[in-house]
Amino acid sequence: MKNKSIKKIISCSIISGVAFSIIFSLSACKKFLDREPLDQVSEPKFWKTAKQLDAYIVGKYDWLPGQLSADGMGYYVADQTSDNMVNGTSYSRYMNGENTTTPSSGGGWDWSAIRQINMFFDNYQRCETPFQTYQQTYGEACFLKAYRYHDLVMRFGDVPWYTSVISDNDEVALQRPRDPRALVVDSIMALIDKSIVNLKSRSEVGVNRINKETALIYKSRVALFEATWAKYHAGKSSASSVDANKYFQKVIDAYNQFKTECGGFQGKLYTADGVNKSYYNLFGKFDYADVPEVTLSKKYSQALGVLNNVGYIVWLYGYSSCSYSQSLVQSYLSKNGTSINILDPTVVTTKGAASLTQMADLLDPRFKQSVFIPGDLLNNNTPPFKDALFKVPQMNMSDVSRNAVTGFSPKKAHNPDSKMINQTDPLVAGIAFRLPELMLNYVEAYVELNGGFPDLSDNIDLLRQRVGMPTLTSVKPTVDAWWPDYGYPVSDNLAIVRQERRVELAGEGYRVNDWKRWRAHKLFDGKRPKGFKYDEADFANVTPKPVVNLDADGYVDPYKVFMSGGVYKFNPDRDYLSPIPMDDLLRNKNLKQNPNWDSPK
Amino acid sequence: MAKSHRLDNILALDADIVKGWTAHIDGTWRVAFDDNQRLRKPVYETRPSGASSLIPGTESSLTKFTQLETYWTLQGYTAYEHTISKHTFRAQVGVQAEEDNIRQLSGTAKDLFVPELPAIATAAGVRTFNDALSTWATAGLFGRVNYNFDEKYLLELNGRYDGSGRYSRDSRWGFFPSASVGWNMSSEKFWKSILPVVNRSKIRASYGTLGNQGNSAGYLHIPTMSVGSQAGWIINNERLPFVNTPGILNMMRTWEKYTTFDVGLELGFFGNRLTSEFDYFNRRSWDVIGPATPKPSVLGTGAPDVNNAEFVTNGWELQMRWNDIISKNWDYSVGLSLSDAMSHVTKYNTTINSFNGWYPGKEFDEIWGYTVDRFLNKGDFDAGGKLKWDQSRINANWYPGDVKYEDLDGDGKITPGSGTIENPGDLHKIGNSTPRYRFGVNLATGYSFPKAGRIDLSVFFEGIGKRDLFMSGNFFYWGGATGGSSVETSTFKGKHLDFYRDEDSNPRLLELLGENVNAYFPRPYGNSGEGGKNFQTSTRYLLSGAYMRLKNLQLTYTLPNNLLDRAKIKTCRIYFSGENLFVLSKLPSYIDPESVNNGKMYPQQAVYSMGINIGF
Repeated sequence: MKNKSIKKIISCSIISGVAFSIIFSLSACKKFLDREPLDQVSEPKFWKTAKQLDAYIVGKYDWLPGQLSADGMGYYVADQTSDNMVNGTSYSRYMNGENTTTPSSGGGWDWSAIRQINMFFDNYQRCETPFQTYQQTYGEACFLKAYRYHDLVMRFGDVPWYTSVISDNDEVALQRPRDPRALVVDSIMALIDKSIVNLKSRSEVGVNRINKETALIYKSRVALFEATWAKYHAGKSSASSVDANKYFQKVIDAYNQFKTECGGFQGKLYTADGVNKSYYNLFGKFDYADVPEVTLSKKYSQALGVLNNVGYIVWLYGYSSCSYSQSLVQSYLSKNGTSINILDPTVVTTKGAASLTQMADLLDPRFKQSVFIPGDLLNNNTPPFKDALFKVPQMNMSDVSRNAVTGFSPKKAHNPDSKMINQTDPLVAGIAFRLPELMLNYVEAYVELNGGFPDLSDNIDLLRQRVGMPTLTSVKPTVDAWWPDYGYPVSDNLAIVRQERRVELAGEGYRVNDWKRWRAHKLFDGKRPKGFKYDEADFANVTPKPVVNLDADGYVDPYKVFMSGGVYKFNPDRDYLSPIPMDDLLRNKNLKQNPNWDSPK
Repeated sequence: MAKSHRLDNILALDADIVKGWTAHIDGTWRVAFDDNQRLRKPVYETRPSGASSLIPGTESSLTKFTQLETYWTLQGYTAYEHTISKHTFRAQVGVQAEEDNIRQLSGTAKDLFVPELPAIATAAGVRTFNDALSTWATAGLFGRVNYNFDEKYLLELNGRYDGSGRYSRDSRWGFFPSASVGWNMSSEKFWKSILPVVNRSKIRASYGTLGNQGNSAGYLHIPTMSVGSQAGWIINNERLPFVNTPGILNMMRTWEKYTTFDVGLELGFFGNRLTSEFDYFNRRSWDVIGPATPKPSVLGTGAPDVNNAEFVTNGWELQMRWNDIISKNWDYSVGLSLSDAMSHVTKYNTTINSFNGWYPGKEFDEIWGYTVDRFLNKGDFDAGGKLKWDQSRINANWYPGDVKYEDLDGDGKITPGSGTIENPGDLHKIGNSTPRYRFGVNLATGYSFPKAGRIDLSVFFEGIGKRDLFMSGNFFYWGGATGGSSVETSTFKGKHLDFYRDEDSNPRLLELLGENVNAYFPRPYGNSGEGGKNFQTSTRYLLSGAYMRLKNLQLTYTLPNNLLDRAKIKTCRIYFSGENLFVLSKLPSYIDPESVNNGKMYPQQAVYSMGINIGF
C-alpha cells in the first residue's frame, strides 16, 4: 500500500514537472528566441548621441578631394585629361572619342554614397541632444551630399533627385525618371547654403575638417560650373536647363559673403617665403594648419598609417608619367605682365634645358615655381640624392613611366626636405580647397555677367603680388592671335581671366572641368600636344639616350607614334555626358539615355 | 601553444508513470574553453663585420586568444501507449530548447622587454585587444502519433514546430509535418501460400518536410553597422573611429526546407536466408537562400538574398544479404549494398546562367571543359612558327607537344566564351564528379570445429562505381607546379616520365629517356608556370574516379569452451585484422581516390592489428 502511494506521489510530481516545464518553455519561447548582436552596433540603437552622428560622417571623409594616392600623384595629375598635361605612357582615349560603347553596369552611375548620406538625413533627428551639439556634423553632411550629387550631375546631366533612403520595394522611387538639371542643381545649392550656415569656421575646427570657408569656395565652384555649362552648351545635345545668370550671381554672392563673414582676402595668401619661393613652397608643405590660404587639407602621416609616396615620385619616378604641355607654358605671361610668345624663335632663342632657364627668366614667376629649372635643389637629406641639383629633364629612362616626356617637369608638391625613402615621414599633405579658386571664380563670373573687370585688389592682384609680378590692374596684356582658341569668340577680358586661372591653378586638377564647362574641346581637338624644343646636346653624356619624337620645328611630339601621326578626334555631341549603363536602362524604363549613346532596343 | 578543454555533462531521466505512460527528460551542458597564444621571438642576423642586427619585421610580439563557449540543450517528452484488441495507439509530445554562447577575448602586444616570457605585461610597444561575442538559440515542439492494426497496417504521423533566434519574429517559426505508412503484406491471409518462399514482405512509404537553417549567420534581421577604428582622413593629428552604413536586410528570411518522399520495399526469402531492402527517395530542397532580382542602381546597395532557390536530389538504395549454411558447422553470408543519388537545381533567380554559379537545370558537381584529342604537331604551325588558329586567350606561346584544344564554336579562337550556358565558347559539359553507385560488399564465413573452437573470416570491400575527375591544380598528378611565390614539385618515377619528347628536345633528356611523341603528358616546362596552359580542364585528362578498396579483413579464432572452463574464462578470442589493404583504381598509385582534391594528405594507411579478447 505504502509503496503504491509513494509511487503515485512520485509519478504525479513527475507529470506535473514535465507539464510545467512544457508550459514554461512555451511562454518563455518568445523572449528566449530574441537574439540581438552583442558585439556589433545595431542600427535601431544608433543615432542617439552627437558623437555617434560624427562617427558616421567621419567615415565618409574619404569622398573629399585633395587625396594623394598611396603610390601616385593623386589630383596633381588629373590635368592629363586636358590640354595642360601629357601622360607619357599613352594618350587619353576619352579625349580621342574612343569610348564608344555603353557599359552594361558601372561607368560612374554609382548611388551607394547617396544612399549612405541620405540615411544620415533620415535619422539624425533621433539624436537625443540639442541641435547645437551636432550642428557642425549636420553642416558636414549637407556638404558631402552636395559634393557627391554634383559629381553625378557633372557626369550625367539630369539625374533623379532623392531626399531619403529608398527601400528595396519602393517601386515608385526606383522607377523615378531623371529630374531636370535645374531642379537638381537648385536642390544641391540649397544644401550648400545650409552647410554654409551650419559649419563652423576654419579657425574653430582646423584645416582637416570641412568648414565654412571651404563651403563658400565650393559654392562658387558649383555655381560657376553650372552657369558656364548652361551658357556654352546652350542649344547642343548636352544643354542644361539651369539659369546661367542666376548662377553667375551666386558666385559673386559667395565671394562677397566670404569678404563679410570670413575676414576677407587680405593677408590670407601664403607669402611667408618671399616672392621667389612662396608659391612653390605652398604645394610641398607637410602640414597646412598655419596656412589660411588652404581651407581644407588631407594630412598624411607614416606614423598614423596614412601614406603617400609623393616625395619619391615627384621627381625620381616621373610624376606618374605626366609632364606639362607646351600649350600650358605658352599661356604664361611675361614677368612684366605682358603677352609673350615662347614659340617665337626670336623670343626664346635657346633649346633644351637652356630654354628652361631662359624661360624662367622671361616669364611669369609662377612658371619657374611650377616647373623644374636647371639648378633647382632636388633633395637635401637622403644619400645618394643629398644636394643633387636638377640638370636636364628626365627623358631617357627605359621605363617610360619615369620620363617627363615634354621636357616640362612639374614641380608642384616637390619639397627638398622630403625623405627619399618610400612612404616615409615627413609626408606632403594634400590641398583640397584653396582661396585663389574663389577669387578666380568670382572674377570670371563678374566678367561673364558685366563684361568689365571688378575691383581686382582683393583677388587677382593679390595673386600677382605674391609672386612679385605687376598687378592686372596696372598692366593689361593684349590678347594675341596665338592665345588659346576655345572654338568660339571670347571677349578680351574673359580670355585674360581664363588665362590667369589656367596659370594659377595649373596642374592641380581644375582644367578638366574647365574645358568641359566651357565646351572648349577645340583646345585639344584636331591637334596633338607638344613639348619643349629638344636639344640632344643635353643628353650627350647620358646613357641610354632618350627616344624622342620631334615635330618639324624641333619640338617634342610625344604622341606622334602613339597616334600614328593623327590628331585628337573628340565627339562633342556625345562625350560631354557619360552614358547610363544598360542594366539600369533595362530595369527602369523611365530612365532615358544621354544623347548619341546606345540604349536598349 | 594551444590548449582546449571541454566538459560535457549529460543527464537523462526516464520514468514509467503508469502503465503505458512514459516520460523522458534529458539535458546536456557543455563547456568548451580554448586558450591559444603565439609568441614570436626576434630573429638576428650576423653582418660580415661580425655585428648582429635584428631582421626588420621580426620584432618580438605576443598574441593571446581565449574563447569560452557554453552550450546547453534540454529535451523533454512524454508518450502514452494503449492497445485495444488489435488496435495499438501511441502518442508522444515533447519540447526541446538549446542555447549557445561564445565569448572571445584576444590581444596582442609588440616589442616585449623579455622576449622569452609570454606575458603582455612585459611589452614595451603597443598593446591592443579586441573581443567577440555571439549567441544563438533554438526551441521547438514535436509530436508523434503511431497507430497499427494487428502489426499489419502501420501509420505514423509527425509534426515539428521549430523556431530559431536567427530570424525575425514574424519568420522565426516553421511547421514541419511528415507521415509514413507501412503494410506488412506477409502478415495477410492471402500471403499464407507464398510464406514459405517469401517469409517477409513489407512495403512502406513516407513523405515529410523538415527545416534547415542553412548557412545563415546570426542576426540576419537586425541591420548592423560595422565599426572602423581609424578613419582614413587625419583630423588634428589623430585618426578617429567611424561607423559604416548597414545594408538592406530581408526581414522575411526564414527556414530553408526540404521535403522528402521515400518509398521502400523490404523482403525476406526462405526464412530470412535472403533479405533485401530497396528504397527510392526524392528530396526537394526549397526556400533555399538565393539571389534577389537585381534592382536599379539608384537603390545604392545590393538587394538582400531571398528564400527562392530550389534543388532536387533523387536516389535509391539497395541492400541484400544472403545467410546460409553449407553444413552443420560451416556458415557463410554475403551482403551487398548499393546506392546512387544525383542532385540538380530546379529554381534559381538569375538571368546569367553562369556555370560557376547556380542556374536552373545545373547538375551539382558538373565539369565543364575543352575537348582535346591530340597534341600539337609541326603541321599545326605555319611557316613563321605561329599556330594556325588562335589559342592566345589561354597563353601567348605554343609549341609542338602542347595540347590541341578543339574549336567547337568555329570562330577560330579557343575561348571560354562568357562562362554561361548561352555562350560557353569552346567549353562543354564533359563529366560530373558526383560519386555514383557507391557499393559495399561483405563476405563472411565461419567454421566451428567440434571441441576445437571456431574460425571466422570476414572481408569487406567498398567503392564507387562511376565518377569523373579532373585533377586541376593537383601537383601530385601533373608533376610540378608553381604555387604563388613557392615552387611545388613532385616527380615520381614511372607515369610522370611519360611526357612528350621529340627530336628538338634537350639532347641530354633524349640521351637518358629517348623520344616519346605519343606520350601521355604534354611538353614539360620549368617553374615559369607556363605549363598550366596544358592543364585546362579537358577531356584528355578526365580521369575515372571509380575504385574498390579492401576496407577490412578479419580472421578470428574463438577458443573452445571446454579448454576455457578449466581456467574459469568465459570467452577467449584471438583475432587478426587488416584495414585498407589494397585499392583498385584507375588513378595513379600516389593519388588516393578518396582524397582527390589536391592530394596533399598522408595516404590512407593500411593497418594490421592482432589481438586477444578475453571475457571473465
